[in-house]
Amino acid sequence: MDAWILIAGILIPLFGALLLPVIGKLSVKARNTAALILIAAAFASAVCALPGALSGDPLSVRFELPLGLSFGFTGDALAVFMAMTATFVSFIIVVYSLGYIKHYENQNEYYMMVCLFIGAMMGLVYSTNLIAIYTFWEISSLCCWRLIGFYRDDMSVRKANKAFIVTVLGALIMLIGFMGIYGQTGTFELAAMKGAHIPSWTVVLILFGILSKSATFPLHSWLPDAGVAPSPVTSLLHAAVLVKIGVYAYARLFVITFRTDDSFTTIVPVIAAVSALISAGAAFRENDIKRVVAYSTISQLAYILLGLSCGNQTGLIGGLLYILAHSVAKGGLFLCAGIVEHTLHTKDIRKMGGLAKTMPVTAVAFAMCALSVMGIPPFSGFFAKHLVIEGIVESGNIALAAVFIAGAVMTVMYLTRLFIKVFLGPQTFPDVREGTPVMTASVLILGITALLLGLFIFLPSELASLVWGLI
Amino acid sequence: MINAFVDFISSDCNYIICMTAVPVIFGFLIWLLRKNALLIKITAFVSAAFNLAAALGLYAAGDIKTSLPFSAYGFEADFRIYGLSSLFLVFTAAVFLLIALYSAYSVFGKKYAGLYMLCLYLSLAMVNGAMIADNLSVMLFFWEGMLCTLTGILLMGNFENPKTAVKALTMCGISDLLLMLGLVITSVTAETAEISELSGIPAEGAGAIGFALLILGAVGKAGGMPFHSWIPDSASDTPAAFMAAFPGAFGKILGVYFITRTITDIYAFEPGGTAGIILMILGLINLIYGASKALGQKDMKRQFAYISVSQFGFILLGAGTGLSAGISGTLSGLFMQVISITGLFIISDGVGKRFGTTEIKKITGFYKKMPAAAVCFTVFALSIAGFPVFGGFFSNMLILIAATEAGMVYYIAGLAGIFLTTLAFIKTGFAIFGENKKQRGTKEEKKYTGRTGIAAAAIILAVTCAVSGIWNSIMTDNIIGRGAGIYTDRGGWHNALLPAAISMCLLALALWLHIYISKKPGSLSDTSGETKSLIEAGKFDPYNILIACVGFYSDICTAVEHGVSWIYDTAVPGAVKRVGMVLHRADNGLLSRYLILAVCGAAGILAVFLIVLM
Repeated sequence: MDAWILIAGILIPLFGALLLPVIGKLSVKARNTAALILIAAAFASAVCALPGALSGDPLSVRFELPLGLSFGFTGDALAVFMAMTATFVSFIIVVYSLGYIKHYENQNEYYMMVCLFIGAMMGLVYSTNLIAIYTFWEISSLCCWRLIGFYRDDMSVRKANKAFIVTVLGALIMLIGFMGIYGQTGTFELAAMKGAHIPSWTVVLILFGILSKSATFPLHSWLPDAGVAPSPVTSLLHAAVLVKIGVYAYARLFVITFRTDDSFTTIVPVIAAVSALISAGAAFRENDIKRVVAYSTISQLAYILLGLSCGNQTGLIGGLLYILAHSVAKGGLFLCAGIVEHTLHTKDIRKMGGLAKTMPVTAVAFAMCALSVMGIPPFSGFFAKHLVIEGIVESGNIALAAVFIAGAVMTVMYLTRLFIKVFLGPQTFPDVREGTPVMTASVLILGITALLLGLFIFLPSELASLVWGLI
Repeated sequence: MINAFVDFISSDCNYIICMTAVPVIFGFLIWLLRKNALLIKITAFVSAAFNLAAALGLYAAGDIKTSLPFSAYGFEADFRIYGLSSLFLVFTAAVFLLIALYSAYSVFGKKYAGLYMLCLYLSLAMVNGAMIADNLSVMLFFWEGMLCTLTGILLMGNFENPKTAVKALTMCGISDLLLMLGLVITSVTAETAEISELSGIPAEGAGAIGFALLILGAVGKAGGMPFHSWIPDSASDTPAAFMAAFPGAFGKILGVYFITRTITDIYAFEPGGTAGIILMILGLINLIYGASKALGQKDMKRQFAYISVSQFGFILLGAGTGLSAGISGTLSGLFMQVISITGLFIISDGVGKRFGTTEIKKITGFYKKMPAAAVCFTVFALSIAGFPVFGGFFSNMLILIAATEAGMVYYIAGLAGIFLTTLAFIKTGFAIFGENKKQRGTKEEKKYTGRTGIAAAAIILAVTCAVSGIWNSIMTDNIIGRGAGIYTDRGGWHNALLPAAISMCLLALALWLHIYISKKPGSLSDTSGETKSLIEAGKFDPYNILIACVGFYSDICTAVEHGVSWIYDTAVPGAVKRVGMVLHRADNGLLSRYLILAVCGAAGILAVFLIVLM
């Protein structure tokens, strides 16, 4: 019976989302409240699955289908970790949306797509079957397409199409990889394939899907362009859901389930290093506030990929903590950028300056989140970055660790540059004010969470440590 | 009662709470009391005195080790007090007592006074935490945590011109990241991150990289080259209380503490080995570069900032010898430098407040207005220059003795560095004690708040300089000997006659040279026009060089990025469009052509599936 909590965590946001447009026709307040309840329900289901994950006896459910097929869901440590992270950040983003999105059209569709997005994410993280993973993966691509094109102007639609085509094409290539694995193992069930050595060509094909979803160089180009979407959407894509799907799939498939050639413990970190360095360099020259943060996402995702791919416990735990720290901090950065853009009606940082005086709460929240992304203690990003670097050194690759340290230096530099250009220096907009209270409170909560997660890092660390036991 | 206090402080996790949590609590308390001058001063005194008492209690208690239950993976919350760490805790606490009191007097009434004091106390907690941590990662947590408070203070009141804060964050951030890599390599090489279990790691292979990175990180924290350039800039932008606390005391104490631990405990450091030679050369570069730059400065605060860099180089020279005399000299030199440089910054604060400027030429003859400050300046300058009687003489002597044993070239270079430092002080001293008719009688002097605090702090520090010189063996043999377990038998005056004579000759030579050159047109500190303009434009500033390199690299990345975007936005859609047009032309509406195309498409899909299934 308890296992139905997992199904509720998937179905409530998935099917609840379909009701939101109907509720929206009747009452805007009811729709907003319902959207929050749907996300909260998903979070609650993850929390309910936590004791099972911690005890090593996760909630699981399995359904047998005709023709020997089956599908199921499990709430193990990795799934619960991802689900809690994604739903917590998504909840804050939806709260923020209440202030941000209220002036725009298509709100019903917006809330529907956001909840569908979260439902798809929940389905993906709990799934124990490759086809189910692929299905939820594609639902998320569909939501992403509609949300990026939210404003419906030519530019937005073009960028939405680009994101859709790249991620769906990647997913289709990944599907071929899944078929290849099926051809070898005769099953789509992850549990049945555990420990199986899969051919390198299937790994390469699946990596296509993963790298396109997690926006890794050279399949990353859609992510900075997705900045045309409303800020809560970009925050959702970058911090909570979309790009994290890719790294989650990497952890689920290549760390926990399959065995691959040892060469991939070098190839993937090298791809990650190239991605980290090039995107960090691009971020330093960019003048669009959202594109800077977007390049930062690409760069930081490379650290997550590095941690997960270096093949040891330290790196894996570092990578998982990085997912958590990055979700919270990057969510905060995008939402702060949203407040700035919403207030100033520009994304060009050359036209900004001195906003710390008029928007002090946003400035403080931005600074806290930026410090976390930079990896400065006591913020949570420090612990994650440290463990990821330690993981790669443990795997014997000091040169690669040095490359990532250079990337970390770049991170400090481009985020500092961004903060100065936007919040310090001479005031260019002396009459602007903070965003709405709900928006300001949202970013502050994320900033404070980044700090508290650092001070109480032993709590998520305990859960992340259990993931190693799944291998 | 004292025994009861020592027992209390050393039992369970009390020392961890007292050294880390209590300063944080006091910091917030002072922040809450920020509008009441008397309460701020009382709280600052009580808290700093408690911190000193706790540090002394731990020094008396000896070896203590505690593991806290809330450890994260890789961050085991282990803490330990032993000789060297307790010695440094006492150093820090003693200096902090003065800095806290001085800051309470100096910054009260200013806009960010409460926040400044809060950051100061948070930094104390971080410094204490880094010294008592027995896990490399936990130590880094405290160590790097100071970046937040450092940047925060530099930003206060400088929102419109945050360049120095950015520079400090970048340079210190880089050195901290290098330290992170060094710590990780060290713990992986030793297969443990517990500091008390790290001993004698060979500095070869990965260990050599780890060692070098640890030293670079510590040099960065102590404000040494090439991470130093934010310090002179911050001297212009920030109150002297900051300069005294951060580059003057906290950073230097922490940096030297870790260098000492690295070479005495963690790595197998052989005197005269390659690592030692590199360390000594790095020290000499810092010493001579800092002193030369100090000589050329026109502003008193910037000059003291460069002297701080130079003096760090001198103690690095001592550490690099790896000999007991050198390390003892490093530890006592650190203490004397922290006292003297803190005192110099405090004086510069008083001068700035009184005259509205710290430009050396404009304060000529200030000894008449501020005689106590002038005397204190003389004491600090003579102590740093190694004049007998003052504490600095003995630390200099120990370092130079060790340098002689390491090689005559280090001794001569060390003397040259001291000579340049002395020249810089003489230049400022002549301005202070000289007569300038043009400036005399100007109405620049102002009444300012905090005079008592400034004068008291400077006098206490100057007396400490003198006392630690007269009874130098207490410092070298008892305090450092007992704390660090390094005994030199070099303390006392009976060993000091020849070094004292050399020091006096050096001082006389510097004095003569200054008088001789000042009569000539131009001065020793003047450089050629072209070089001067390059220096003034910051062309040799490591930070500016870094920014230029990163800018160039970013241009390349942006070009790559544009190339990738072109593929996605232009090339692929263009190719698809062309293929579509070709197919469109190919489909002429005839059934036969349609069937050929359909069969080709189906064959393609079938081929893919066959490949997959095979």
